[in-house]
Amino acid sequence: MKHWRISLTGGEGETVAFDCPEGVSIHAAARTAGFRLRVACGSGGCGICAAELVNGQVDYVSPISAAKIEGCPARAVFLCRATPTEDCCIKTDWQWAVVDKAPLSRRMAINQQGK
Amino acid sequence: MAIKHKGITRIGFVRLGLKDPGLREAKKFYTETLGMLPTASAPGQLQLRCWHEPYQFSLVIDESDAHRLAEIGFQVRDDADLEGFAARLAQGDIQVARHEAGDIPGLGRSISFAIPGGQRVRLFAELAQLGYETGFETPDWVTPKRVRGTPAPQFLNHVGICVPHPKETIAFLKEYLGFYASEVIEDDQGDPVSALLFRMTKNVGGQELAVFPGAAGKLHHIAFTKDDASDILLDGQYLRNDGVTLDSFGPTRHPYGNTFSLHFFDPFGVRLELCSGGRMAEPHPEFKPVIWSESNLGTALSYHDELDTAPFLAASI
Amino acid sequence: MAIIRLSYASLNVTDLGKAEQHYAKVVGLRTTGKTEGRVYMQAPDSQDHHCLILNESASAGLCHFGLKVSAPEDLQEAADKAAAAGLKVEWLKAGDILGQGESVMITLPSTHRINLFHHSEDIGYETGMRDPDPILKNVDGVNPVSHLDHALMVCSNPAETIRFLRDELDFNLSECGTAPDGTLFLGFLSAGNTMHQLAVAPGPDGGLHHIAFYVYDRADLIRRVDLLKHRGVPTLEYGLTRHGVAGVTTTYFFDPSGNRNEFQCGAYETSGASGRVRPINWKPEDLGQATFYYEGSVPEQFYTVVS
Repeated sequence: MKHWRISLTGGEGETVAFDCPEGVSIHAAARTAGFRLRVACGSGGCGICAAELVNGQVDYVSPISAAKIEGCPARAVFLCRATPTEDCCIKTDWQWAVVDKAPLSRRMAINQQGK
Repeated sequence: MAIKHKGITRIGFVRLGLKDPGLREAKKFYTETLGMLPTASAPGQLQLRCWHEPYQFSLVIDESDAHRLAEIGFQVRDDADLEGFAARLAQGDIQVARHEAGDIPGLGRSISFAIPGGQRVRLFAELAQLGYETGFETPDWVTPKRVRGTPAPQFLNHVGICVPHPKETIAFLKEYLGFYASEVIEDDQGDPVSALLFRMTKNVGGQELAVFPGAAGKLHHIAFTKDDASDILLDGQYLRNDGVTLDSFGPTRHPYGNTFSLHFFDPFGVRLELCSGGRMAEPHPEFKPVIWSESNLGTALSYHDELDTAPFLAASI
Repeated sequence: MAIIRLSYASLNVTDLGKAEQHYAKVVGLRTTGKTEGRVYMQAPDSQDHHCLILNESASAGLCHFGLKVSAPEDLQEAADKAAAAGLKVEWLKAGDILGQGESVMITLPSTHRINLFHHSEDIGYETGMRDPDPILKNVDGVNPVSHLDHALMVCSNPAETIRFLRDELDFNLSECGTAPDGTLFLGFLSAGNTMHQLAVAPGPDGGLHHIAFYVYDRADLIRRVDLLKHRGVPTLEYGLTRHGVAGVTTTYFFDPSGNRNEFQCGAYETSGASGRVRPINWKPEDLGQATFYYEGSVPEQFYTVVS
């Protein structure tokens, strides 16, 4: 399976990068990499996950509601169902959440440093 | 004509006479054990409501020389409805009594009459409102503290009555009062021997009246609404803890109406029910009732138990 | 006589096959008819032909709501009232919608369309109409949903649409939200004895917030949330919760086209007569409690996300 590199720049200018296998949604790949994107319906119907595709190409694993595509800029990408077909740079005007994958270990470390 | 809800819009109250000097035992049971809220009392009369109801009462108890079902009250849309019913009943040679407002404290002007089967039905357009117990602004909609630990039902749901000739009573309730049947039990001739009748579109089932065969004018049971079956299991514990006698089935699925139900008795022998759920029913001329064969009565009354149905069929007061 | 119930929702879906599978397997509806690009479905405890129409479409969202009336002459009455209010009215012939008689389609000020009809083909309860065993043959570990209970639509001027439904179509306003200047911005309306069949909230005109299915017991609701998570159905971040409005236990999730669904349990009864009981009022600052009683706050996306 091909993997493409996704580079995501957020509303506060911060950039993160992660791999996304072809055929997997950018939303799902971000989740695996520890980033929770601004996704609500996860089903292409609400448009809340819209971002700007700065460069690269995507395909869609399932349809996006035409009503939500209307009114969006031509380079809009809907991350809940978009999958890359090459490396992509994507810009959002919203911030993702970082999912801490080792919250207990971190707490332990903080505790030990404090001693 | 206009797009307007007319006729009976809801079951309003049930009124009992109990041989209970000072109504002390009745007040104790209905407030402390069942968890209704007392709203008004006059010498010889006690008024109660469920905590979710905005009206002054849904249960009226009068001190009486014998236990009896006095009447069942239904609210109609307006005074024009009241006059319409009075005229229609008069045409059918039904004797209609007229009552001034305040005949029962809190009740507006009303009419009453006996249905075939002997019970008295009261129709009214106005009933005083005390407002919601939990308030009109940002309500919590949580059972009030003083009735927690009791069943504290939310609403009066339906009244079961016994009548000598169910077919005749059911036909009258449909023809004169506009009721629809949601479920009917038929004998092997196809004649109705029992029915659940409704006018309301509730989330929980289509019945404001349940008709059973029995002695004229008798009460079979009074049912109250609960949100949920698991509440009713807990309620059964509270009731037993207070020494209340449960009816033979205990908590059970009641396919006749498809409620989850618990029947039990007040200290005077009045059968009460807590029910949740119920098949969705629509007050519409094309709506069809579920039909039960009398031979399946056991299953219809309790899906879980395999018990004799005779104790349940007995009238209460 | 009157409108008696929200009878069905006609939804647009971007993948008809997946949508049918969702409403059959996740919600528990039965398929009652199919035409080119359309699937008709019904809940177990309804006798009519459908409570849901799925329309294959490029966009998700609402096509229209179906409201059932108790007398055939109500249709002309409603048409006259809508025309007098300057609303668009369109007549549909019997059979234009599968299993349904003649109807009148009214475009509300919110741009949502409501379709009033009197007759539906009778298909009966899923349990059958004679000596019905209450448990369905294809249970999935929970009781089935009972029926389509209500829907929430959004629009730019809720007060206008709330007033039309209340003043012209005899809906009762059971609970509402008012702004400090007295503007009605949220309304819960019912044409029966429930607390809502149609609700109206602020948002883009024509938007669908959710359609809700009634569930008998809270234990069923818990199990249903378990199954939604187990099956990977997108859900609201709060999972199982309770609305302060109405005090009902609830959970939200999405169909495969992004239309929001709700399972709801609660037995709130109302007077059955418009205006008889004063509506409950919620102020803007109480919307956290109003919306999610346990959490006391609203995720931003709850109100902004519509299809």
